[in-house]
Amino acid sequence: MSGSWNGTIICAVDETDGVDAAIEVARELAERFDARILVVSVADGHGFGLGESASERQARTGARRRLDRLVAEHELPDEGHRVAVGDAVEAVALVAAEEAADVIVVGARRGLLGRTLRSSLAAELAATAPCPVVVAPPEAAAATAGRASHAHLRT
Amino acid sequence: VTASIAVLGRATRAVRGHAEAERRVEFGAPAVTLLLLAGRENAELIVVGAGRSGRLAAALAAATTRPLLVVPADEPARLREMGRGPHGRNGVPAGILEAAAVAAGEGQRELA
Repeated sequence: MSGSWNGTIICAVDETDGVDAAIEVARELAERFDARILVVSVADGHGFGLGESASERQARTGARRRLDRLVAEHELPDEGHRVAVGDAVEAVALVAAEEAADVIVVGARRGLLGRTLRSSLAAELAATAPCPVVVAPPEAAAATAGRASHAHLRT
Repeated sequence: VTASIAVLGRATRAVRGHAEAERRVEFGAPAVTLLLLAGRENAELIVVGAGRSGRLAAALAAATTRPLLVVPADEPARLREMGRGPHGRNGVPAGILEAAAVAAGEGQRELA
């Protein structure tokens, strides 16, 4: 996926604490680099259509609701968000490849240092994604908000 | 230690002109040591190459309390282009992204 800058940032959202931070970091990067944000929520399953089971349909509905809630809370544009179906890491990597994304931004769980490290979307994407990955911990949201208010005060 | 110092030398040469760089060698388990250092230094961003196995990147991503940028081995060109753009001239983004490119370049050398 190396090459020119295409101006697309994928923000992968799940149920981790860092999801708000991921959106704020993605927004800051998008403003700084004149890029668009594509927010992606992943539902477990194999795909849409007649073969979709009840649990897959439920997962897709949950992913759509999560996306709608985050779009509303963060006042994101109505376009630029998508529900993908399948394994979370593979689905996000596939969307990133389809969109020729330059960067993936994903949230992290709240401080796990000193505990057993668990596999997560952030960890697996960081290890395998075909493009740069920014991992935003929950603490980053406060820092981003702080910088924004500081910048506002200076203007 | 000698190999670490050589890598640090290449990295600081690459970011020269974009950002001030301080070199340091730390001892310990890589992910935990880096996260503790980032905490002590109140770092705004940790930049690391994905490397061959992605193990360090995954461990950092699972536990970080600071923003983390992980760069695959074949991505330095794109990041250099970001750093050269109009928004990269204020020093900080350009320096960060150049450092990321260096981290990715180190990953390529590992592969070779």
